[in-house]
Amino acid sequence: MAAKRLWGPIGFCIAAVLAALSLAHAEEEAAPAADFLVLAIKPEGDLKDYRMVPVGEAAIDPVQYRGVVKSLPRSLFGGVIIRPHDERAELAQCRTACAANAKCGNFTYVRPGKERPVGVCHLRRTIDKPATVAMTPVVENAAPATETIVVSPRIGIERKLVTIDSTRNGRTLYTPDQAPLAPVTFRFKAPVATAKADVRTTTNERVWANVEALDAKGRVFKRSGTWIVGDGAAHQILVRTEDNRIAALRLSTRDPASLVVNGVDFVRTADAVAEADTAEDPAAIEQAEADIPPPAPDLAAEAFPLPPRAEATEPPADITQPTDEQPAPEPQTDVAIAKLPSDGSTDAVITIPIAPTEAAPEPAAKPEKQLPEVPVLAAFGAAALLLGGTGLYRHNYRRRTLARLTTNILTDGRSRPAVTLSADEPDMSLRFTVRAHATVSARQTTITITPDGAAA
Amino acid sequence: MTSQNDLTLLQFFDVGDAKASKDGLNALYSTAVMRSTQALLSTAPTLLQNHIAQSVTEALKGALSVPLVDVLSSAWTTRRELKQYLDRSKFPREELVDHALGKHEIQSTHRPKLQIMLDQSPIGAEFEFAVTVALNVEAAILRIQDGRIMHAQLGKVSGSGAIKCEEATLFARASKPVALPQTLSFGQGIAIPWPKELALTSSVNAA
Repeated sequence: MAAKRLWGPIGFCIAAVLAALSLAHAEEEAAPAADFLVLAIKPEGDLKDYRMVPVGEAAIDPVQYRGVVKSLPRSLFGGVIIRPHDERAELAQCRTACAANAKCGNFTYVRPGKERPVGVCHLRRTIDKPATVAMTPVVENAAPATETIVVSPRIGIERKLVTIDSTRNGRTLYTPDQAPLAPVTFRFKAPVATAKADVRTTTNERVWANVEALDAKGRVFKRSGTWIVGDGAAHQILVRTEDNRIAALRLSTRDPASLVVNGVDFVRTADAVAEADTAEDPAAIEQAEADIPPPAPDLAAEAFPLPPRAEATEPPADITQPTDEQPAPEPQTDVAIAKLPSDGSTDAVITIPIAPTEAAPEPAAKPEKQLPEVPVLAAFGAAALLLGGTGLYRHNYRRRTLARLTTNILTDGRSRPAVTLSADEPDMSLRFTVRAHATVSARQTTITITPDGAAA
Repeated sequence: MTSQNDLTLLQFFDVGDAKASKDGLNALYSTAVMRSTQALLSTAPTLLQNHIAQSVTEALKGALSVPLVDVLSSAWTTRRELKQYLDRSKFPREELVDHALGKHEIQSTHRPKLQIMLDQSPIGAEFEFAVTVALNVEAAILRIQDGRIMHAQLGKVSGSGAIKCEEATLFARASKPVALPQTLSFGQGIAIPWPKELALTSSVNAA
């Protein structure tokens, strides 16, 4: 009986211990994967020489970060001297910092950019997993239901997937505060024949936009690109097929958040509207998102091989910088399909600028190589003008300043010279007096010789 | 090209020499008048303050452009024995007289004055220099006609001298030969000045 009585408290204790363990485990699982240390990768000394400087814990402390940037070497004109960016070396620094920290389970590397000239590492407690969130359907002319997903752990690009739930023809417009930024994928509940994205740039610089059309099986069947002029006006990117083949439209740019989509127009052929619901395979599209890497031009890939990619991590929420590889520019050869085919083929992708695009340059064969020439020449010209102007100004300033000071000769002192000779002694040895006229001969010349000193 | 007849005090003192000019500038800065002028220009641009001595030196060069022959001739005309050639009864106008001079020394001193002007207004005290020249002439024959020295033939000439401002010696020349031509021509001639009493008598007779 006594033993039976003991089983009660023992069982209670075991249950309590198990409950406590399970609660602790639950807490551990529920703990969000948060940054616990942010390190700036400050370049120092020679190449591949770095110093990891803490610049925050949960997020970047702007004051500490500015301190790191201010300590960078400065040029003659005050600008920060950035040595060539070595992403492989900086990633190695992050990896080493994480390995050296017992609490670190994962890290996120943010490469340097225009706003943040020094790369940073976000050390995290746990290994993050790509999170996939179910999409929420949206209604036409309503705010888009956008979810952030990591569609490709291998690449880690943050894309937005916007589902357009309408099975009719129409238009989806977004308010300025809800308009999605590229990269973004618009998934149509029913495939469409024509999709037209109304886009504009967020900066004053022109932006290269990649356009990809995916079919119901998630395969990219049309791919193109175009320059969007940074004039703040709306431009349209049109993808057209003769049958309802476009199940998703994907827009991406080199610089994230440089392109905003104001709305999407979509048109289906009349006989295929009813078939739309059955042809769609959203899972296939999402799978395709994960499998299709962004296209990269061959030349760029050969000239600038990409370094090994970082661990698949989720970018920190407070970092506006891109956290991983950006999509490479589209091959310029796709420009050819920007014209409507005349041979009766079924598919076409064209771009229609709405605003006047006088300054909109057509994509050249190698626009990246043409662009720097004009600024460099302009900079040289400006520098030459500046130097010449400075020299001319200094010369004129010197001449004008020195002209203010003159020295006048009041008298040269010759009006009252003090001329003296040695004592007026009778030092004349001889005196020759020649009494001759110009017309007389030498015989008539009389020479008088006076003894020394007689005249005195 | 400067002929020997155009030899001036600038060449006599070798003012154009860079080292001599630099030494002269340094000596000029030690004078009281220069220091007072600098004090007055202390609020002026540094460019101007550093330009004072150079401006004074440039002006001094202008004051030293005196031909050395002028020094000789002006000294010769002061000799008393040359006054006799003014007597037309003894020495008619057509008569040429060669007057020989033995070894003699000529001392000449003149005092050029300079004034620094800032924006066309005088600033500071005047700079007064003392230019002293001593010439030793071994011999000279003066050809005189109508009371004028028309030509001169020179023997060896050597000279020394100094340019001073206050007590500071800016330029100095040790005694050394002077390269003058053997024959000097005075064009229309250098008039031998009348003695004061003789000039008075002449004017009374004319009246």
